[in-house]
Amino acid sequence: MKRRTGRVTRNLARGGLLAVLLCSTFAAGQSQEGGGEETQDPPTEPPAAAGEQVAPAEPAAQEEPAEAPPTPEPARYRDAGEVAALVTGWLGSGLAERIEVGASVGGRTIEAIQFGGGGATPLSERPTIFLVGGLDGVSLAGAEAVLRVTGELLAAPDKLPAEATFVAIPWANPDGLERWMRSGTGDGRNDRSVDDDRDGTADEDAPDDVDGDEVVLSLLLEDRDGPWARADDDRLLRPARPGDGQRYRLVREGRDDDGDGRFNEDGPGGVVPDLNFPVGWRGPWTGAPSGRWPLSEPAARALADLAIERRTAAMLVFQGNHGRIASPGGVPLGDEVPDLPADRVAFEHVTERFNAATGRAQAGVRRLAEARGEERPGAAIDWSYVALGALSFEVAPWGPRVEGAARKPKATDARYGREEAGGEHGERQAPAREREWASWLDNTRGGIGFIDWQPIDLGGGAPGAGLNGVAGWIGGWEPRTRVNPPPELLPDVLRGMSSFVLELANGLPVLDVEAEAVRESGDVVVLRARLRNRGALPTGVGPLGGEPARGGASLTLRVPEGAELLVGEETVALGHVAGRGASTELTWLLLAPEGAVLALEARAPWHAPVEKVVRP
Amino acid sequence: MRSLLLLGFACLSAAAQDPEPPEEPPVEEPVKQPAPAPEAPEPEPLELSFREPPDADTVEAALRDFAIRHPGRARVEAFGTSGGGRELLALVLGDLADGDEATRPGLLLLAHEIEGSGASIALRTAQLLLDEADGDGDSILRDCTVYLLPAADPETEPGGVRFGCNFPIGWRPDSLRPGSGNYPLSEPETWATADFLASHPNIAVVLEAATAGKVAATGERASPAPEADAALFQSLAGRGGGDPRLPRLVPCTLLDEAGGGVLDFAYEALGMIACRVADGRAPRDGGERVAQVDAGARLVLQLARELPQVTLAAREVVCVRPGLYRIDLTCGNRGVLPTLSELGLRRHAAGEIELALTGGNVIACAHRRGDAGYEVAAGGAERFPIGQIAGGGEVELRLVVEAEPGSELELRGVSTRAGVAVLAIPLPG
Repeated sequence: MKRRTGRVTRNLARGGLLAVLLCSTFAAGQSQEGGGEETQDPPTEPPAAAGEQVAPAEPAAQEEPAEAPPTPEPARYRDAGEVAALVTGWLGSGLAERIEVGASVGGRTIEAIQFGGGGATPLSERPTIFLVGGLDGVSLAGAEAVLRVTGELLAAPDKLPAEATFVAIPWANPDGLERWMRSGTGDGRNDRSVDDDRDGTADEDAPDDVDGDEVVLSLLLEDRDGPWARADDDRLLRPARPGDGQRYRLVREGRDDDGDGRFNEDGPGGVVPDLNFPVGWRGPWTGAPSGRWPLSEPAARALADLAIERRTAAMLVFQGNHGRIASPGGVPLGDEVPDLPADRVAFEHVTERFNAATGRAQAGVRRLAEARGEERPGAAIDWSYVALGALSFEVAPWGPRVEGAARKPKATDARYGREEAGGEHGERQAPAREREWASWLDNTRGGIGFIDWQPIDLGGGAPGAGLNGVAGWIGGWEPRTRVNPPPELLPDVLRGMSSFVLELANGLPVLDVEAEAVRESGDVVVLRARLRNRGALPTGVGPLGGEPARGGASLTLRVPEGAELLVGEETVALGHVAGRGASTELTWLLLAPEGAVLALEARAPWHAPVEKVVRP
Repeated sequence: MRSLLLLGFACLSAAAQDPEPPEEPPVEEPVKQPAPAPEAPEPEPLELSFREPPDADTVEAALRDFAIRHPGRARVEAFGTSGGGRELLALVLGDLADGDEATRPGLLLLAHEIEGSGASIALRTAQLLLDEADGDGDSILRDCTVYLLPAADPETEPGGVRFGCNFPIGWRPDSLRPGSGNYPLSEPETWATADFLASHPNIAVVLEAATAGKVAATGERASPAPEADAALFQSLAGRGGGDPRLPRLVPCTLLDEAGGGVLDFAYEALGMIACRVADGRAPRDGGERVAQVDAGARLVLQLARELPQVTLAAREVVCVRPGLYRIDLTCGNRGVLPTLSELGLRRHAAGEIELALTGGNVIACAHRRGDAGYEVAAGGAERFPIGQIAGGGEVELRLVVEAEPGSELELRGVSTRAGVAVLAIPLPG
C-alpha cells in the first residue's frame, strides 16, 4: 500500500479530534476494499431510514411469491452480473418488463426494463421518464442510483403514477463501467479499439500499477511546458503561470509501454458514449473520445433510438461527481443549445424538488458545463432536450459537498472555503473545485483518501529522475473517493433520489379541456374552448422548430359533416402551456346544423390525447 | 437491343470500346464459379439517354450493365439498403483484376436528387471511362479508382428528412432546422453513404452532383479552411464556370448552406477534398440537357486525372563506411491535387505519406527544409511519416541506413489517398 500516514498527521493538525475519529472508522472500511476499484463489495448495509423515501410495501404472502413487491436492494457497488441478476429478479416479480436495447461494442448486454403504474395505456405509449446510469462509464454511483430508485419505486407500485412509464437502464455504458470497476482505468471509454496516438497500433500504452500496490493512481511528470504547478497545499495542483519554476504534466500512473516518450497515451477503449450525442458534438480530432461521428456507438444509438420511439418526457442521467442536478448546456448556450427563458421555470421547479427530496442546497439552476466545471460537448442530455424536447438533467449523486451537507463548520476545520483574493498566497491556491475536495477530505474524512506524491523510478535508475531525465511522482486520490463515494456512504448519497423521481413523474402535465358551444342565431355557433394544464410541469420544453405541430401542445376541432368552419383553424398550435393551472382559450365560429356534435382533441408531447365532445 | 430511353450518346459495342479487352480475373477462382462459355454472345450495351433524368430502375439497370460488360474494370457493390428497401448501389471503376483498387487514389461522385442531373452525370462518367474509345479512360482507371453512387437517396419524399441536412458536421436537430432528422445519419441512406466514405480511406476527392439552386458563393464559411486548403479550393472554384448553361465546380468551403451536408462531412470529418458539381441553369430542351450532362462528366474526369500520386526517386547513394549508407532521395506528388488536405493533416485523417524500408535499418530520416538544411525527423522506427505534399511538389529526404554491402533496399512511399510508390535501391558493394 502506498503511504498515507503523513497526510493523516497533517490533517490531525487541521481537522482536530473529529478527524481522528473518522480516520479510524474509515480506515476499517478501506481495509475491506482491497485498495483498488475492486469488485469485492464491503458488507452490505441496510438502507438508511429516511422519511422522504418511498416506503417499502409489506411483504406479500408466501403463497404468491410472483406478486410480492421486491424489497429495495441495499445500496452498494454491483458488478454487471449482479445488475443482471437484480434485473432478472425484478422481471420475475411481474412488475417490470424487459426492453431490448442491444449490446455494447464489447458485446455486453445493456440491461433495460420498463415499469409503471396500473393505467390502461400500454407502457410503451405513455409519457416516459428515462433513468440512465453511468453513461459516462465511470459513475458507479450513478448506476447504483438507478438501481436504488428502481428498487424503491417497484417496492411501492401503488404509488406509481398511472399514466407514466419509467425506463431504467442502470449500466448504460457497460464496457466503461466494467473497466472502471475492475481497474479504475479507461476514463469511461467503451471497448472500441482506437489508435489514440496514431502510431499504427491501438491500445498499446495503458495505465499500469507501476509500484505494485494494486492501485492505479496518478503520475506527476516534471515538464517545463506542462500545464500544472504545485499549489500552496502541495498535494494539489494549480494552473501554471509564466515564471513558475517547476511545471508538471498529470497523467494516470503507468509506464511508457511503447517507448515513445509518452505515458499512457493509448490505453484500451475508444469512445465515451456520453460524448457521442449529436448536439454540441466535437469530432475526435479535438482529442475527445467522442466517436468517429455522432451516435456511432451502439450504446448511444440504442438509447437515442429508444428515446425517439417513446414519448420521452424526461431524461435523467445519473452520473458525475459535482453533487448537483444539471440542466442542458454542456456547451455554451446559443446555436446548438438554445437558451429558452420559458423553459427556465421548469428547470427551476425541478431543481427545487431535487433539493427538497435530497436535502441538498443547490442555489438555482446549473447548466451542465457550469456544474462540471468544464464543457461537456456531445452530452446525452443536450441532445434529448434540444432534439426531443425532453426535460433533461444530469443528476450527480456524489460530490464534494454531499457528505455532511448539513454539517456546520468548526473552528478546527481546515480553511478551504475562504477565497484568498490576490497576493502571493491567493495566486498559489488550487482551483476552487480542488479546494472543495480537499475540504471534504480533511474536514469530513480526516485526510484519508489521498496518497502523498512519492518519487518513482521511471526507468532511469533513480526515484524522481527517471526515463530521459524526467522526474515522476506517483500519488493522488485513492479509488472511491472523488469519482465515486466510499461504498459505506452510498445509502446517504442516494437518499431521496427515488422521492425526487417520483415527484417529477407526479408533476407531469395533466390536461383538461373545458368547452362551451353557444348557438348565436340559427346555425351559427360560437365555440369557446380552454386548454388547462393542472400539472406542475409545462406541456413540453425545448425549441419548437417553427413548426406548430412539433413539440408543442395543440387543440384540434373536428368539424362534423354538414358543418362549416367560418373563423379559426381546425388545428391550433399552442406551444408549451405552462403548468400549475395555466390555460389558453380559443374561439371558433362555425355553421353547424341542429344536432351536430363538435369534438375537440388536445395533444401534448407528454400527455395522452384528451377528447372533449360539445353539443351546441 | 434493350432500349430504355431515346438515344443521347451513341454507345459503341463492347468490342469496339475495348481494343484491349481487360484480362480475366486470376484463375484461382472458387471451383463453383463456372468459367464463362467461350461461345457466349458479347453483351450488348444498354442504351442510355440523358435527355431527361433516369428513374431508379434505369440507374440500377445501367450500373449492372456496365459491370456485366466490363468485369475487369467495373463492379457493382451494394453499400446499404434504403428506407424503402431498395439496394443502394455503387459502381466501382478501376483496375479490378489485381484486387488492389482500394490502394489507389480514389474519386467518388454521388448524386441524391432524382430530379437533378447528378445521376445522369454519374452514368455518363462511367460511359466515358468504359465505353469511349477516344478518351483516356484506360489510363485513368489504371492509376486510380472511381466510385459512382448515382442514386444515394432513391426515394426522396417531400417533407421527410433531407439527405443534404442529415450528416454530422453542422447538423442541427429537426426542432431547430426541419428536415434534418432527430440525429445525424438517422436515415439508412445517409448512414450507408457515410460508412462508405469512411471505409474507403483511399478516396481523395468527393464530388456531389446537385442542383445549382442550392449554391451561393460567399467566399467565407463559419469555420474558415486552413490557408493551403482555401487556396486550393479557390483554384478549383473556377472550373467549368464559363458558360452559365453548363455545370461548374463549387468547393464545399464556398457553399453557403446551413450545414449537415455530405461535402462538409467529407471535408471536415474525413479530410477529403470535397466539391459540388453544380448544375448549370435549367435546360431548355433535351439536347441542352445532354450537353450539360456531358460537360459535368468531363469535369469529373478532369479531377480524376489530377488525383495525387506518390513518386519516389533516388538522387544519390553514398557509402559512409562499409555497412552504413547515406541515401538522398525525393518523394513527390505527380498529381495536381495535394496528397491530403491541410485540414485532413491537422485532424490526423488517413492519407499522410509514410516511408517504409525493407532490407536495411534506418538510423535516421531527415527532411530538407529549404536552405536551412536537413532536419532529422525520425529514426529507429519502421515507418516514417513525412506529412503531405502539394500537387506537383516534392520533398527532399536523406536516409542514413545500415545494410549489407551490395544488397538491395526496397523503399515504399505509401499514402492512403495518393497510392504507393516503390523504389529499389541497389547498394554499392
